[in-house]
Amino acid sequence: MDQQAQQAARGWARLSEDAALRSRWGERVRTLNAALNALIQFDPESREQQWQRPAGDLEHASPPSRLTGLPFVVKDNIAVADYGLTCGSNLLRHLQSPYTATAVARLQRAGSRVVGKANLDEFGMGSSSQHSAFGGVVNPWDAGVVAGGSSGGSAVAVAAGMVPFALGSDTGGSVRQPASFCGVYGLKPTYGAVSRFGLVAYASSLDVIGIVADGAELARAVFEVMRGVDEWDQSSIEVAPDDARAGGSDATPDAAPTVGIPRSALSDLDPAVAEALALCESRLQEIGCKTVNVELATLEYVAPAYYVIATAEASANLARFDGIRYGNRSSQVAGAAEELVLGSRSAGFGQEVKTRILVGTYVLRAGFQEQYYQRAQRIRTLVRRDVDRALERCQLLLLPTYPVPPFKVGGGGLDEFQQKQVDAYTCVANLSGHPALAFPVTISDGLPIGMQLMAPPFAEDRLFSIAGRLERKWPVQRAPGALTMDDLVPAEG
Amino acid sequence: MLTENLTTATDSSNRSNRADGRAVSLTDVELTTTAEMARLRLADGERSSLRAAIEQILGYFDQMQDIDVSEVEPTSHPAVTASNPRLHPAPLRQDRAVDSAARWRSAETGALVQRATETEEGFIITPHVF
Repeated sequence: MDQQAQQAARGWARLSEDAALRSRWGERVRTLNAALNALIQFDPESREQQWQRPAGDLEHASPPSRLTGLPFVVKDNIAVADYGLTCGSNLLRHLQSPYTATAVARLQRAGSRVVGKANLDEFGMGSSSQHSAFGGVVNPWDAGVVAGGSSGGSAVAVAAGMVPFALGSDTGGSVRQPASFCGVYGLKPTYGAVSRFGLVAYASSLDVIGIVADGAELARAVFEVMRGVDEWDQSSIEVAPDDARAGGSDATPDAAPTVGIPRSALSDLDPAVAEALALCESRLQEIGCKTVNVELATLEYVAPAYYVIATAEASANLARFDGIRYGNRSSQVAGAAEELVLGSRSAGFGQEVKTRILVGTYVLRAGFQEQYYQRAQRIRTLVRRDVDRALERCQLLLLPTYPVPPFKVGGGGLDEFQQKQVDAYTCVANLSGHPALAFPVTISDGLPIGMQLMAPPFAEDRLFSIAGRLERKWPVQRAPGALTMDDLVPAEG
Repeated sequence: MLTENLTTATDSSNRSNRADGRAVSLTDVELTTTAEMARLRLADGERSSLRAAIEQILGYFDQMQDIDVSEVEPTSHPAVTASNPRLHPAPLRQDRAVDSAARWRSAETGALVQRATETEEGFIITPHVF
């Protein structure tokens, strides 16, 4: 971590040592949240004992790390023991999780403290964080535009300075797109790099737990703690250390990588986003990177293939919500069990979730599988080959996170269907499994615009390294009214 | 600009639907059958909006017909372990008999069962199934 990031981390870590500071911080977060609705649950006072207990007292605790004492919030579709696990749904409004996700437990063992659960589009389905049974999330840059989604609560919590980092989930861009809309960093790790145990499944072959952070180096520190094989997730993978990393990230041969831009596939960019892309390219060149054009010809098929796979898998994964084992049970219990299931699901799910379950059920119907699901999986192969081929010519790919700036609440020219169509830039990394990091580039008309870098599988290090260098040279502007630890300190005297 | 492009994309997918001779419309029966399979009961007030949303997405999916995938293997999972000696996936657990009753009595499982609306002696109560 560079000096500035270390200083910020020390500021946050003071929360552990100073109960009065914690109290002022809690009050400020509550005030911010009353306006932004980023958190569904925030009650650190009722968990005061967690601050008293040094990390070393926890079972299997790691030695003190740079994450020791840092507070974080967790998207409410990721399990944390004794917290709610609503998934932003009426169906699970009263569910309390009996256990903790592996990724969260690893952060807790490193000394970080969960302080709340973040708002989201129901079950992670959406690009605006307006589809939540707990109300929409507000973007701290402009209350009239959406926060992005589905991890909008996580992104806003970080952008507003409530916490330095947050966990989200990224099935088709759900960490990166809100991170870009809120002017913070958002990592979608390689599929398999971080255990998904404790993440409520939406589309199992696409879902990953991701990170929202207020800096690239902090994102790296969080990722390093979370990553690695887990006996509870069969898809998790351990990566043996690579000798190339031994000399420190900036000293590796990747210090001045070649960055590929799939320019011909990026034809429909809003002028502000095109400008941000050009600015980012010139900055990359200024720090010594070479940029080249690469082809990503299958990009136009990414969004339809993604939505076939995502909805098909969602229809199967969400079948478990039957109102019997957990979640709200329909009061119409007079009839048979079937009536109870129908009643609980129909009353519990919101419109967007119902739409996706119905679409997924339709495409998996007998006779349609070759036309939809199988074909989408074959396209997925082509997309992955395309990305691999592009990465043969460069070490990183650069593309916008989203083709338009943060859009207005209510759609602002993008209806629900169009919001799905423009997800292609983020969905590509979920289809292919590659890691991608969204990072802030510029402010246009008062709204943040972000880009994303993609790397070969398990080369997250390259992403943090380049994004960190850009951040050090061109510091990121914070959201208006964002809380900083410095704001809280003067009140002490 | 974007909206124009999106309109073009929608138009072209409609064209390909016509070319395939398949109109992307969902009959009342199809919608009802799909909802039954999905264990959803659709209220009268939501049928038309859900139907419109589904038809629009299905029409968009037809864009996938424009690409030749006949020689391509499907990817069901993006695991990337093959041929890379640096990568070690989670090992399969051993295939051996365990005392499942003991697992059910464990604190974690007990806590999970307690989350259900109605329970009795570690079991979840449901309405009559038969």
